[in-house]
Amino acid sequence: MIKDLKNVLSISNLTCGYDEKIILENIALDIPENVKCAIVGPNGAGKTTLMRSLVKLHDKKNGKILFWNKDFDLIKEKIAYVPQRKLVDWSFPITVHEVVKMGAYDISKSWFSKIPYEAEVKTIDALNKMNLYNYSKSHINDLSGGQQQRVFIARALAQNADLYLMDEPLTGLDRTSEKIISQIFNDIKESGKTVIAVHHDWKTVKEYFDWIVLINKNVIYNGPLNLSENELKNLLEKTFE
Amino acid sequence: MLIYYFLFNLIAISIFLGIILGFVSSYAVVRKWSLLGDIISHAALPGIVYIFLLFKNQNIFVMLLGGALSSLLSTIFSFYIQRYKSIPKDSAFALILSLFFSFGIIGMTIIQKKGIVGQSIINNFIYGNIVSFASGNVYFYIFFSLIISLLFYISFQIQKCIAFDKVFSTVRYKNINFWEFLLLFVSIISIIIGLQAVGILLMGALIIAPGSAARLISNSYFKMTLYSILITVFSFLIGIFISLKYSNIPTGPVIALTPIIIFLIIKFFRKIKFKNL
Repeated sequence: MIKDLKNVLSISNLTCGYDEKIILENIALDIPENVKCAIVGPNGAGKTTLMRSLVKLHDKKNGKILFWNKDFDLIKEKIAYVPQRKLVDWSFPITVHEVVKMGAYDISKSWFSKIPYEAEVKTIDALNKMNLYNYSKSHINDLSGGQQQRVFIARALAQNADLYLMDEPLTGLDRTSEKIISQIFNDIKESGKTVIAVHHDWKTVKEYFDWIVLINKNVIYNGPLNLSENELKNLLEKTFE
Repeated sequence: MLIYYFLFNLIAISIFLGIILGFVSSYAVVRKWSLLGDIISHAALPGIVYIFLLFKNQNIFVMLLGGALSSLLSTIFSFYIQRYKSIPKDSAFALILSLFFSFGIIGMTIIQKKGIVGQSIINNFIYGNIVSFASGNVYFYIFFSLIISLLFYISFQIQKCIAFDKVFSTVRYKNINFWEFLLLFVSIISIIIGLQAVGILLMGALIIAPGSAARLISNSYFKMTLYSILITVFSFLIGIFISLKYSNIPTGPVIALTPIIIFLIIKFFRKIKFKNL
């Protein structure tokens, strides 16, 4: 079967920053459907800013960001977002089950009615996929860092989206969590869906991903990760210099 | 007979105020709005004072409306200033608080110098005087409290999600900005209504203490809110009881002091428990 290479994400002329500072300048970027894409670059290169502008958490100064040729707000349901782990108040009194359920349905719309049945099913399904079912009733702050990260990814899975945007999902994990998350990346790809993740460690990028975007203020390389060691090394040197 | 009616009003007001401020305290603590609570209450002063000066109006509701408007303005300032990463948040908040409060004090001095009748009403707002409620229209406050409690109740899941992970909630849910604004607005209204009882100066304590104490003893947001409400209602009742029994002791400070003492007691006993473990 020949794959239809539709773009899941297309960015043109994107410029962002805050106050007077410009962080990303004039970015153009197309990412095809059904890849496991890593966004790699040095600290301060604008990886997180890019991710945050995709989901409209960061005001852009200029440019266009489209998902399947549509604006984010129109297609929100189909895009699941995993924010950076450190942004959350982990001491908040909430259970694993409750956190994962946050992803399963739009709480701001069904505030008066009971929780939909399928939301419960999706929640349990996502907990099982991330090997967290036994922790359902545990408090989120009783979990290890890796388990917390898995809860975050489970919450995104519960949304049953077609595109997963993740900000540093593989930072500071134990080996078990790394394996489970890597397996989930494969599952997502096999079911025809897409992962785009900010990745901090260029050494391990080939283990988890098959597409790479190298950025440092602007895009240095965007393409499949079937590069030779030498080619990749050269590109990385160019990005991190 | 009159004294019973008066007591009934006082207790009814305490319970309803306790419920809405308990909701606010729980939400404010998990949203880390302690400083904002202080700003909101202090910033009410200029609104109240200038409405009084401008219209020579002693109608409590008109004055409360003025207070609500200036509090809302200070809140908008506080959120706006956070967009600038180059300004440290706590300095910005302290500046906004002082800005609004000093404007209020200027207005108060003018009122005093001019010797306008009814200054005592303004003093009630600053130091708090729950008795001033009991002589007013109790049903109006009860009606407001019921609406506010209902809003807090139905938005419970939303509060939980915003408090735990604001970033995710903003991305995932469609109407989240509406709900966030509504909750903020309702919190401001609750604080403004409570000002007459607790006073501008001590309102901040009543926003921080019950929620913080409740958080120490709860393992879910639901329980936390419940305990926060109980502690606030209890504080109001203690405040009334003590000031009725000992006429020299003012209500406002007792109401503000009670949850702080409860917080300290819980903290102390928890420490002992942990040592034994």
